[in-house]
Amino acid sequence: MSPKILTVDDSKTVRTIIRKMLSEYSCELIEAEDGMEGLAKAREESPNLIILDIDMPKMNGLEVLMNLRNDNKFEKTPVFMLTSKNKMQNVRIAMELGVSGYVGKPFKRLDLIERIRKVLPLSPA
Amino acid sequence: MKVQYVNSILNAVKRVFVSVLGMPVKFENPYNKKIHHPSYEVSSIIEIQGELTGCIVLSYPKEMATIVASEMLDEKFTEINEETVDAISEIANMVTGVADTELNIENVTYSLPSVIMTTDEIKYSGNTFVFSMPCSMDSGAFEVDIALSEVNHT
Repeated sequence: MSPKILTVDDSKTVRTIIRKMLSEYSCELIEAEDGMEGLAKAREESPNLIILDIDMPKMNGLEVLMNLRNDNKFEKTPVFMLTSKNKMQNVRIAMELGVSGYVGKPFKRLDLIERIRKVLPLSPA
Repeated sequence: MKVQYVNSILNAVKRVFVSVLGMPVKFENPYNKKIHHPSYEVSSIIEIQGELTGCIVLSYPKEMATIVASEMLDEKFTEINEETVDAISEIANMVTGVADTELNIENVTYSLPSVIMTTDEIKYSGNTFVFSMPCSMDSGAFEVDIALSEVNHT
């Protein structure tokens, strides 16, 4: 069964870039454009990996991460924070909340794929 | 306006354009933009508040804006639409993010980018001194305007 990957980012461009990067692999892609939708879709779809932007409307990525980690269902789900603002305080908060990894924007296709492969098997489509 | 602000932003422009678009950027001759208007038709503006105030503007000719969006999304765009605006906006977001990481100044917030389509005079917030850097790539030109100042706590 193909892994499910949820991307939560308010930028349609970033969601499109990630979708195109992952289109070469056998995986089911789910998208959300803000934190609240992201949380709802996570609960609905139970993804195997969540890629989460930090700065988003309605609920930011750190709040989403906190909600996920407070839910037993997502205790061990890998979550990558995706952000253009790599401020140490955000990194520290995310680490304390149990983030699995950080992908800074701009990111290269190979970087993202390699990081995903460390937590999820990705086979070519 | 401190030279480190300008350098951080210009370094970020180079880094983002190369990483995301595979386009090396060449900087031409900078100048003080006395009349505050974007040099080209499509501009993304980020307002900055806090310990630093002002704005950063990335301004593109229409064709260049579509080229940037096309490269970013690996799709051919020939007109300015919702997708090209979002792509231009995201580039500005990444540039300020990279610059912010390098500058590492506490208590500085960045607005979401607004994209405007005008070459009319607009209000550049912050410093009245606007540093403008014309930029060129193989596919065309664009410009970066930087107007920043530190808050005076005296």
